[in-house]
Formats: sequence, C-alpha cells, structure tokens
Amino acid sequence: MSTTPPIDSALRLEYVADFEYSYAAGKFASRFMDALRNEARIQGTRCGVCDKVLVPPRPVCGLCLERTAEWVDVGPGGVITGYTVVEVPFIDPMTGIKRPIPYGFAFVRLDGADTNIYHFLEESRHDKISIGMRITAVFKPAPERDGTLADIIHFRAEGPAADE
Amino acid sequence: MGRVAIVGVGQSVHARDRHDVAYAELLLEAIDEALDDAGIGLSDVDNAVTASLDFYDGRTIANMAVADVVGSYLKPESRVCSDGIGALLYGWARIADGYHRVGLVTAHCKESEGNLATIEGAAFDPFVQRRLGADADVVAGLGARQIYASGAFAPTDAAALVVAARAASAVNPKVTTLESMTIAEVLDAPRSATPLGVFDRAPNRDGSCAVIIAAEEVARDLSDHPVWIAGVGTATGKYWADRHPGDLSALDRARDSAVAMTGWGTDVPDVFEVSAQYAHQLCQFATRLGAELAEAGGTLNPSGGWHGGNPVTVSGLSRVTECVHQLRGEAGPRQHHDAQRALAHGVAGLGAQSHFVAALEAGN
Repeated sequence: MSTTPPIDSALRLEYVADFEYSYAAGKFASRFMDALRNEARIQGTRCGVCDKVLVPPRPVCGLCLERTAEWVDVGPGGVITGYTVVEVPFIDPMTGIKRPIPYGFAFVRLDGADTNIYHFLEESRHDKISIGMRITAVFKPAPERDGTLADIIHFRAEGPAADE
Repeated sequence: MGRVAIVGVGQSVHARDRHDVAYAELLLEAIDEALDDAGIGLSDVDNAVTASLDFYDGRTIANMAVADVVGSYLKPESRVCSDGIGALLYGWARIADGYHRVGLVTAHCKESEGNLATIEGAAFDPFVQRRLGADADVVAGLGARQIYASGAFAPTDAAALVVAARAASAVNPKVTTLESMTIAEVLDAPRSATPLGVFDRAPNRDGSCAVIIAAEEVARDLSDHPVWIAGVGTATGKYWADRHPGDLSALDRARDSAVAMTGWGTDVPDVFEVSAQYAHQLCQFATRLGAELAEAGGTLNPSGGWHGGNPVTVSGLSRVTECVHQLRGEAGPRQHHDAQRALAHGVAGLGAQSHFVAALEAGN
C-alpha cells in the first residue's frame, strides 16, 4: 500500500488579483448622478401603484412588480433611521484612503422618500446621534462634484450647530 | 411528472458595449418582451431561475442585483452560475414536479465590463495553472490542435460555420449584423492561439434573454401555440485538462437523456440550435447532436448561433428562444418550413465541460 510522504511544510500561495471593471450605470443611476453633480439634487422614482418613492431610483418597484411612474425630488433633509459609529480603521471606498475614526454612519430616510440610503455623518459622538434625529445633506461645492455619491460629503444635524 | 411549455420568450438587443444600460435595465428589455409575448404580468409569475456569473458582473451574488426586475420579492428565486439553458432545466423541474405553475427563466451577461482574460484566468486552479496566464483562448487553442490533428475536422470546416453564422446575423433582428466574410478571410485573420484565429471565437457581446414557462393547464389557457419541453438533459464531463476534446461523453449523455424523454421515435428534429464559443467546437457539437441529419432537411443554427453574436451565459437560452420562434412558425426569413421538433443546446465551462440539451416540440 502506497502512502503520500509527509511534507516539510504546508504550502500557502499568496495571490493578488487585479480585477478591472468599467460598470455601466445605466439610465436610472446616470440620471440620479447627473442631478447630484449638476444641481445638488437628490432624486428618486415613484411607484404608480403603491405611491412609494424609491431612492436610489430604480426602473421597477420590487414590491408591486410594476415599472416606476415618475421622477421626484427628495431631501436634502431627512431623519436618521439607524446609525453606528465606526471604530475600526477602514479604507473609504469613495476616496481609497483610510477614513479617520471614529466616524458616524447612518441609514437616512430623506424627506419624501420611502426607502433608506446610507451615508456618513458629520457627527461621530454616540451621545450626539439618535434615531429620529433630523439631518441634511452637505454637498461638495459645484466645481468639485463629479457625479458620484461622494458629491454628498456627509449628513449634518439640521439647525444651528450649537455644539461647536 | 407534469408537462411544461414555453409560453413567452424575449431578448434584449445583443451588441458590443451596451454602455447605455445597467445590468437590471439590460435584463428588463428581455423580460418585458417575454411577459408581453406570454400576455401576463410579473405578478403572474410564481418563481424565477436566473443565470449569471459573478466574475463578469463584477459583484458577488450578482442575481440580487436583478431581484427587482425578475420579481423575486417573497418568491423562490434560484440562480445558476452557468449557461442560461441550465436555468431553463432547473425551472422546468420546479414546474414538472407540481410545486410551481409559472416560471421566469433569465440569463444576462456583459462581456464588455470586465477584463476577460482576468475573469477567465480566475477559473484555473491557483497552484499549477493560473500562474501560467492562460485564458479561454489558450485552452481552446490546445483543444483545436488536438481536434484538427485527429482528422475529424479541418480549419476550413470551422471557418465555413463562422461564415454561415455571420451571414445569419443579418436576418436575426436581436443581434448586430456582422460584416460578411469568406472562408479565406476567416482563415487569414490574425491568430489568437494557434490554430485559432480571432474569428474562431464568438464575438464579444452584451445581452440578455428571458423565457416564461408554465404548467400544462396554464399554458393551454395562455397560449394558442405553446412550445412543449419534451425532454431535457445535462451532464458534466471530465476536467478539461484530463479530457481529450474529442471526448464528448457529456454531450452524448445530455442529448440521450433529453431525447429519451420525448416520444419522437424515429422522427428527427427539424431545427438544431447549437452553442459553441469556438468554431471547431461547433463542428464537433453540431455533428454529435445530429446535424448530419441536416441532409434529411434539418436546419443548423438559423439564428446564427453563438457566433452570430451572443454573450457567454446567454447563448443557450438564446438557442431556446430561436427554437420557439421556429416551432411557432414566426421566424420570418429564418423559418424552417413546418418545423415541429427542435433541439436547443448550451455549453459551459473551460474546454466545454458541461452540456445542456432541451428537446422542444410544437403541437398539442
């Protein structure tokens, strides 16, 4: 009976793959991003059946299984529906550089929307963030906007920044 | 086991660089057409089976990106990481077993968005293969040399099929019309991995396909001309590096399984829609599936086949769609006279490892 001889060391192979893609945003996401860049507007699509406004906009209402009917403006204000404060170092996928910790990260229900988006919060202190708190989008200046979600820098508490 | 029929088909336009649409939008083009063809809405569908490949889509669990458009909210949705005809077989089983009544089967792919050599390279094992930098063309080149050396086919046979596919693209409204070529032009084109040239491989395409299937009683209500799924078969062969490319055991098994389920007896199919990403494979698969019976009046790939211009993942379901048009007598200038039976074939994997066959028939 033959046996496999013992090995001196268990091989592990390091492998780094560089996968390049050029994603087509399509008609809906392209229009959404154009409105962010050109007019600092946030838009969604309304379902003609259930009347819900979906953000980001999409071609089909996944619940009613029907084509969405119209484009509507939402925000820039809204409420926090869920949040966390991130305490571990993390590469910001929108900039490729490490985002300073801690930072606030929230589900945001924009005014006029029936779905959440999530984004960064300006505030990073637990005791200054709460569910139901009103916030508003802070946009980059027009010349710096490039038609990505990073055109919104973060969301800031509405009203005077009393703590600063 | 219940009978299952195809009651609706649809395809996007298959073209190079569909930069105008995101994945969900591309698939929606096919779904809208298929639902319209069936005369139903998405809410009438009780389950979905989708085909897509994460590495092409550039995201994991890529079927979730099309969940809205396939209407899978609170419904069973399963995903096949293989050719779309594999999704059809899965969808067929769901209805044949009596648990579902109306299914949506889809396939989508954009070959334009990723780096194909990198994506294909990721299919190789990381220790003894991947570091050598091979891709699908290299594997196919090795295989083509073995096939031609065996004397089974010659490069001119393969080139003739490329010429025919390109001509057929002109009468298929769902694909881009390809520039017509001669056999000599195909043979003289730049080489990719010898003996293969750049036209031996099906063109780079983006596209989608959707098929609506239904249980017999639903199908009879919905359609005056249901196309019956009379038989199905699939099999996976040995790993490509361990298998001579002339070994078509998996294709044979898939075909035999499908045909054995039919009541065709000695009747032969009128239409053969055969998938192969490389032309020498098309010679092999078409012959093995029985297209030598073309001499008895059958038609091979009236749609133009994969070389007429479909993306990977979608080809098999496109073959099914063409068979449905043929069996309904709706194929226009491509129509085979009085087509009653058709074989649709799909293939997946490096070196054409897995095969799928659906036997389709018109009538009651």
